[in-house]
Amino acid sequence: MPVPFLLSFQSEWLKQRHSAASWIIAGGSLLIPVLFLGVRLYHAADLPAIHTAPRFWEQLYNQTWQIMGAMLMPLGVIVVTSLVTQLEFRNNTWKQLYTTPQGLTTIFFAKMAVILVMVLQCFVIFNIGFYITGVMPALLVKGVPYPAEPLPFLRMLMGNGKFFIACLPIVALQYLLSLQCRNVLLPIGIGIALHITSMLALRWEYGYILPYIYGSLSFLEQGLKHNYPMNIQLLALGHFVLLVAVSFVLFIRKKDKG
Amino acid sequence: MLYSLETHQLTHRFSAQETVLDNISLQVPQGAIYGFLGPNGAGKTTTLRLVLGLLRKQQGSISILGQSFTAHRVALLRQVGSLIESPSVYSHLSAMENLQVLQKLYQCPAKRLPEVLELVGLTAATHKKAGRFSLGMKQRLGIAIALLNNPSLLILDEPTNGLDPNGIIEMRELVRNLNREQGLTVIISSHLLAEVEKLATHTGIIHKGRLLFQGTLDTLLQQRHNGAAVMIDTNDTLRTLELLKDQDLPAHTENGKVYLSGITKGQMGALNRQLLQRGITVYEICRQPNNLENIFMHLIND
Repeated sequence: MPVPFLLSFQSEWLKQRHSAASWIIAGGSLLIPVLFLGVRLYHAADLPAIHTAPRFWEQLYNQTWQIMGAMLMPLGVIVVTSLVTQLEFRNNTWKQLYTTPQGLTTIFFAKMAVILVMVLQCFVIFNIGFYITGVMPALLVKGVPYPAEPLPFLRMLMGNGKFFIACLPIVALQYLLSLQCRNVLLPIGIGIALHITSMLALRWEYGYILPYIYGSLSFLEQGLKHNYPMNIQLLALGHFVLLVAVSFVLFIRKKDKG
Repeated sequence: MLYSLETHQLTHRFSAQETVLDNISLQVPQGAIYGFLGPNGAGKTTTLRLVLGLLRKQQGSISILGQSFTAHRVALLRQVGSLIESPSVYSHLSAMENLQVLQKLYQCPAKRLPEVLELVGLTAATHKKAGRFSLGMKQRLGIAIALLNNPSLLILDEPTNGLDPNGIIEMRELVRNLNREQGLTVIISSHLLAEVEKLATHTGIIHKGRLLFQGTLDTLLQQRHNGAAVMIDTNDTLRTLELLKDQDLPAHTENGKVYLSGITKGQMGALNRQLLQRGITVYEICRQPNNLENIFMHLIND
């Protein structure tokens, strides 16, 4: 009987213990909230006005996600996806993995599921950091009130969902590249180059053909006023499905496994 | 006879011009320690990689424990343990964590983990990161991983690489015990003749992608005993060769000495007399030691 998917996933998850990818997720997710908190505490005199502003959470959300969604998140996804598969190349463990009693489909999707869960983990940690950035000054600085406005939880959840979908094409293409390249610098280099290209192509009306553009598009969609053939989340999902399919075919057709 | 591994006319090409395996038909009897012997680049690792599905099969068939590998890949891999070339261990994880990763996949009980670590002598390094292991320790951990699922067939490719002399002896003992006590069939590939000679019950000799011999080690030694080379050292190599040619005995020279094979003790005595009668001084006539090294050299030179 083949290994059930859940056990394969657990095995893949165990491999990420103390790995570079897991540290990058933890550190990278907290970077922006910690920086914002630091800047706010440094300019403590401005805090009472900021905390009583009517759209406190929305402003903080926009400020943090502008950097996170357009810049750091795509970069983090590029690096983490490449590192997860690199683990097998670096440790010469593909051959061990291929000789375990599991189907190639299970290996492919279990590893990809781990990457997706790690990206989700990044969102969760970032949001915790975001909330702490909002409330921490009230605890630390005298005279700074708690934000009067309630946390717009549902809107934030929707926004997070959009950014997560925007990350999916990046995960898929990086996964494809990193499964084919032994040298980790190659997929990371290609990923960064594509990410920069996407940022430069933001105002191009056909920019949506670039899989790395969706993080920025999710944020700037309204401002750009382009006529996309469909909703950009659907476009991102389309990219994801197509790239995963190509990646899977290349993976199972590999002549030399490990 | 039941075979744990059987390949039939396995042929593999890396390109149209480069045939790395040519009709390899291995037969590894159940319960055997099969020494798969050959010089570097002979095709040992390629054969084992094909057997484990790490290379896509081009021609021929593979069956493990009586079942087609292509049709029952997953079920058969559950019964096979392997260590191919350098050990596969996650350097950022401890020995125990490395085993836990595989334990999930083999679904074996947790008590099996310390057991296999003890078997390979790594109990003291249970919580040490594999990245800080010596090559020998990594090799042991690789063997522990291969044993984790209590396999029926264990495939070890050059398992003594990186082991110190003591480690080699311990590894040999471990394989012998597993074979004797648990009836485990073991395939060990090696270019170290002495290693195979000390351990194997059966052997297969591969050279330039072709299987030159397969059978029990005793058969090989017996077959070659009769045909073992005889060395004749005289003061006149040319005239010695002429005499042998007159008697239809094929011979060749090497470092100023004459070598021939397939002669009996009686023939050796008669030859000595004839050489002396022709005024040739005989310094030495002896049968070459009949060890695996000589046999191997003969086979690959034939």
